[in-house]
Amino acid sequence: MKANRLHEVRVMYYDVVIFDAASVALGIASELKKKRKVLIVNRTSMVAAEFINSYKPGRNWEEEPETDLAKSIAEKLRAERLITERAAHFYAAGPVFYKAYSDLGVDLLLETEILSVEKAGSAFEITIYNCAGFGTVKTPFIIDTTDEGFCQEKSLNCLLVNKDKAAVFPAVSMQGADFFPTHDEIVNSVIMRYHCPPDASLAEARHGLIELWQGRPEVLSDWKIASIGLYFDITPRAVQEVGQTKCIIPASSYDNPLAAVDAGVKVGRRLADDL
Amino acid sequence: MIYRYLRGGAVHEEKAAPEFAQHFDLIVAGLGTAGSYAALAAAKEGVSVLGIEKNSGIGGMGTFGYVDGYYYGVEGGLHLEIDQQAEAMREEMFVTDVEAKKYIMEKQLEDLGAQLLFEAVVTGVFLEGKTVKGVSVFSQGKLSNYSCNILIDATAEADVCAMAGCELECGRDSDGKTRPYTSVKISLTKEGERTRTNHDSGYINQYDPVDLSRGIVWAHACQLLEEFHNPQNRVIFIAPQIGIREGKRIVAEHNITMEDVLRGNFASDPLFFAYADFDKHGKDHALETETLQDWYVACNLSTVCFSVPVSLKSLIPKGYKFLLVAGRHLGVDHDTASLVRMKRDLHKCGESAGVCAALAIKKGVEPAQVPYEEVKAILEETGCFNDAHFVPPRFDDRYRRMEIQWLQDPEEIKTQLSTDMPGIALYSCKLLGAKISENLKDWLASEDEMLAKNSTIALGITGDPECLPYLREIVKNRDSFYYKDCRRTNQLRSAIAIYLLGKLGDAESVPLLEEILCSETEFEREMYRDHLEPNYMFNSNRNFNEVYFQIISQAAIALTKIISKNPSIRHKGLAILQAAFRDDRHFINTTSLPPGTFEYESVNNIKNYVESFCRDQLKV
Repeated sequence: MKANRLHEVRVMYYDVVIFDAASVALGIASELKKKRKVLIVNRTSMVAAEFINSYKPGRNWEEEPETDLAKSIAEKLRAERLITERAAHFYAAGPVFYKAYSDLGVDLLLETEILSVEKAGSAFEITIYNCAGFGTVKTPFIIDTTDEGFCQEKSLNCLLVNKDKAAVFPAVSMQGADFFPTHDEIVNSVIMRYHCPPDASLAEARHGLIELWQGRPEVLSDWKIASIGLYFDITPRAVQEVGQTKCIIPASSYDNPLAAVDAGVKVGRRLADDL
Repeated sequence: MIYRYLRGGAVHEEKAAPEFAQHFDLIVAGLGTAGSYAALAAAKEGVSVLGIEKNSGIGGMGTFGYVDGYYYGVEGGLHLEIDQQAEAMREEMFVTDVEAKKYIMEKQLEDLGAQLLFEAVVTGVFLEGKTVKGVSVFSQGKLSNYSCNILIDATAEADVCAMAGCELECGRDSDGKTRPYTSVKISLTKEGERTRTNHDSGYINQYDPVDLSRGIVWAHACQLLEEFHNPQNRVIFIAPQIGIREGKRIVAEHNITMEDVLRGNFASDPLFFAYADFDKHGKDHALETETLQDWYVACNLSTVCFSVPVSLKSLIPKGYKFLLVAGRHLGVDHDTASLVRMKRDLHKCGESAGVCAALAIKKGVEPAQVPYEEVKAILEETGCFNDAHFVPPRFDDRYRRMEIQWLQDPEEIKTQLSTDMPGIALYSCKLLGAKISENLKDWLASEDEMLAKNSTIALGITGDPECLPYLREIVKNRDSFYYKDCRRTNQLRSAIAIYLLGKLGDAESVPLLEEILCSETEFEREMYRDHLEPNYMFNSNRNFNEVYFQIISQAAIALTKIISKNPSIRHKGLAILQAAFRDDRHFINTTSLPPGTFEYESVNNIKNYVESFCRDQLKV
């Protein structure tokens, strides 16, 4: 085959392309799809990873969501006892968010890298790479919910567990880490946040976290790592730009995934009318 | 030099004069189950290694797929030391050894000077003729080129081989489907112990980005189904890497077939021995090859384990130089792919490929030119290769642990055919063929019903048409009796009889098959309510009527075979098949689970095959 066949391969056209299958993207797409052809491109196989796979503790989950989509997700999380009066276990909410994405009815490409984004006339030409190789997507509007470019602070979090249900997590301090109780009614667990430089890779941060825990004080010896995040807990800079052709909304800007879905729905409604 | 890459699923090629950012003796594409050990083994031999991995760490299904235990395979090789170190680290600081394995292997590779690119993908390959010279890689937001002496494709999906233009095979002959895939959910019990649920999630085409995405989302969403739900435990995450059991396989310098495995036709220069049963997972056996069905269905020997020697020739794509594979995409047929895929075996596959590559690099020759004895000596040192790993076929589980001796003596065969565990005798009859036919015919009239019916099955397996009236009688008086040779995957004798009627092309059985497939009252038979509860011996559960599925799936496919062999009944046969699947009856009678689930799709695979068969026949 000759190289010029490159141009014969079909280009995909969408009204809107959303980068990352985040919680906020779910809300945005749920509204935009009513009027626009939408594609979500996600680098990994994880959805809503900024809360679920980051072990981000989240805040203000007791506040009642405003939109129907966020309310329906909250209802499922309560039914699964992933939200209680005392606690929220968003890291366990993977199946609920996968179900929400399954029901969304929007084109979704997981495990797809975005290689480049270039302006081509009034549209963007996006080069993607996935299991089918290179591909091209054209769109007049991009919504970027990725976090990494807007990172102000980040940590790699892990879930610590003590088999002794009655054990109390001791009041210790470890340089570079802090701890959050999970108030879990099933397992005695604590979330540890290991703070790392904004440019650290996941592998580097994971090694740092493990080495920190290897040197933990004796009083923590019965606390074991059950799982380490596969996504950073990110505090992004206060960024939210809605332009004529591009919208930037870092996924980790919200207190919890329900608030993110709520915010996404509102953005989606506005854009559906404006675009 | 040429540059080959995938675009829109097709291979493209252009002339290239690349600038390489760096040269490595060896590039390992994919640092999963096999690739991680390929990189480690090669780095230990002192060659420079670049490892490229799409995940954010090493280990593949064992770490990012969280399949942290072992199913068969034989201990030995570099993985033993890693496992021991990981176990010690787990005791000190982890609930499981998954994170420990990642950390230990990554650190060892770094200490050995290997360069690892995580969250990176190979996007193209540079070749001179059929010799691989390097790759292009997307990592950290940019594309870079790296050159190498040898490349090991350890992607599991044969990604680099596909780009390089190697000849590949995929799926089964009947409908192209590969084995079902899984979603793995990790939970903690209230005691803080790790527990894992993985259920077959249906079927996926991992080479189609839309279907791959659908499959991932669907499988993880299904964790909400009541069947997989346990509110007593705390889910801590869903493994990000789904468990895909089969994909494209290379056409190698030597491909290992199931016939080879059954007959013991093996390579004389093995690098390691794989060891497992034909762990095929799917329930739609009727769509598999006759070789597999004779073994798995007709002789009910599904859980018998085999040692399979794997030589370097099965790791070299046919016609290519300086390119090896390590992983489940090695040169095996679809049937054998279900056996040569266990984690320990693929660790060894990687280790072997890494050693061969390193020796070839040091000698400046192709991997195929490295003296076998030199490779073997290194692999023996680590325990990756050990003559004692080769064992004769055997049952090897807590239900039954025994070496298999094929029978020659008619009296011994008769004795075993008089039991509900006749599998060894049945396959012995297949091996003996006409030599045992007269004995079997004598036993057909036995007053011992077990002996008479099992002799009918045995005669059918030998291909003797005298069994046909007796087979029809078994099907006419069909029941829920199943053989008990194995744990879990035992087969119904009535379903076996149906399979044999199809295999022998028996046109006279068409009315019987029509009754099974089309009668409104078929499902009212008591037999379909005999084994509804989960059962260690019979693979039924609350949401899958195994008895009904075995019978109707075999009946439908038997009828397609009979039509193919008897053109005179084509019109009638096709009408039966079309009537059989004109409504959802067979779905409803088999499972209450929705479309997309493994259970539903098992029926759907049969339906789709039948519809495709009918379309093809109507074109004739």
